[in-house]
Amino acid sequence: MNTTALLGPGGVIFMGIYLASLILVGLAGRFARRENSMADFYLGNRGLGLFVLFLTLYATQYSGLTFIGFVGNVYRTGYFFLVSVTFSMSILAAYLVYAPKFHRLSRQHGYITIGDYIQQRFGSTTLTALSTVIFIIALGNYILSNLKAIGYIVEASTGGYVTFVQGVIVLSIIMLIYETLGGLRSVAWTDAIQGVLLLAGCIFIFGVISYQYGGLPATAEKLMATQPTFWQPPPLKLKLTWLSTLTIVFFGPSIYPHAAQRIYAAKDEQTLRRSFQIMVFMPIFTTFFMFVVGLVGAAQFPGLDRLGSEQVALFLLNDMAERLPSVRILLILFLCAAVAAIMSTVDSALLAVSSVFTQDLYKRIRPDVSQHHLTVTGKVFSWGLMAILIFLAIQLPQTLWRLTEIKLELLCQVAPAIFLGVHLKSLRTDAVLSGLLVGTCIALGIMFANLAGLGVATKPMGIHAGVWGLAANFLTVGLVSKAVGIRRMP
Amino acid sequence: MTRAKLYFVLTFFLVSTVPWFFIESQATQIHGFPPWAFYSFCMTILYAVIVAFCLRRYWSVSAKDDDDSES
Repeated sequence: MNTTALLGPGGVIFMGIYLASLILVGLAGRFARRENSMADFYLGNRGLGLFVLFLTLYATQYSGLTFIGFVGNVYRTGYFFLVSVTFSMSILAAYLVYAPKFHRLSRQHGYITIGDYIQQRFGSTTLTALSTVIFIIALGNYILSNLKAIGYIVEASTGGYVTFVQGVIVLSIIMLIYETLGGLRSVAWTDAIQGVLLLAGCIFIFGVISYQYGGLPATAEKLMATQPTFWQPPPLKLKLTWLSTLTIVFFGPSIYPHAAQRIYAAKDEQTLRRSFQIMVFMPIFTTFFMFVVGLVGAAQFPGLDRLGSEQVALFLLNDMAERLPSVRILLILFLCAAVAAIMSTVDSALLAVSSVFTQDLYKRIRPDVSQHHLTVTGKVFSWGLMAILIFLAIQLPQTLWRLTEIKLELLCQVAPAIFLGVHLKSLRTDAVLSGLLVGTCIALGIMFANLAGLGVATKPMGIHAGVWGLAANFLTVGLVSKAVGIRRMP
Repeated sequence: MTRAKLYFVLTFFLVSTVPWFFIESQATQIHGFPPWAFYSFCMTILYAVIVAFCLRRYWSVSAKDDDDSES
């Protein structure tokens, strides 16, 4: 790790003010509480307006991955990673398939979690429990990978003055405090601050880097000479990977429990629709801007290894700051935007996983407890889970990061229950349950066969294990439905 | 528009963003992109416009309850 601090005293003070403001916003969320209920704590009393809803959707969708992983991926794979811009938009198309009904049903039946819908629609505790376990594993992985990223950023920002462990612990405690204080209301309000910071960071960094290094055409001239492979159209196998990536993102992140939480929490249908309409274009100002930064990095700093490629945005900003000291402020903005992106994702995932545990598991075991009891249980669960994840983030070696890939491969197996279940009244519970089991087994089977060195590729024929599983999942749903006959729901 | 047609249109334009028909490498750039990437980028922008339009125009189509035959 670099021992030279990326942030000077001014940057550290700015970061400190930003973090302190999050606690104050959390406190404001607490004072705005209308009642001590699950709906108020986890859904902000279903009253999120356009501004806050849009910014919380935006800040939650973009995580540390956008700033670190995406830029590094572009550096390594070149124009192929344009797929990231498309898949970020495809999530909104996926919302169009199920969100309109979800929002309406949530008002009719008082849903708090995505599990409430599954239970009410299919009436199967087994299906709900299985889906819940998948959600908890996926979100746990998501939080874990983001905690590791935030630890590295803090350590790099302060030149090791604040260590990885201290960074992870302190920022996790800040998130837990504002979340415990005000639930979704606090999380959404802090997301609004983080969303503005994230957008400003992307726009300024893209603008300055494009201006300084000559933008895309000048970068392309260099890349044509230094990276001729970037110019070749992807071969068929890679085109299938492209399509597979679009598929897994369409069916995976679109059904994150924290996404469903925001669909339920929207003030009304019009607010939700308008937020999505704006969100469709945000990948241009976020993912695409970071894509250009990655390309400029590949042109300016060729030959970096994997770890180096993920820090290429920092290298570019440092390079500019050496020539033009006033640009150093952009370093502060970049680091704060990256921290904001990660915190807004972790806090939302944590709140969602806490609601899923409380509402879909705990409440089904103890149906008679009060709303206050459930809310307190959710808060205690959040702290306990975070303690475990902090421990894992500190202890797990880098090589085990590969396990985090399981997240999307597993998550998308729940998609048929949502995408088909919401529209096909005749869809049977046993068909969905069979599909979920078959799809999950196939996805896990391919992944573990690969890990065990059995000669199975991570992506057989260029297609993700999760997509193979999903195809088998849909097929099973169709076959079982046909075999047992279509039965109309009353 | 029926729900089935709406979802077909969304799927068609999503699949169209993949540069399926580009095989040969060309040493030219279009606004900083190789031709196949420029195609994909343009289709992605078109896809965003179509999704935004469908969200505005066909939200109610996706929201309504009807028979399975129409789904």
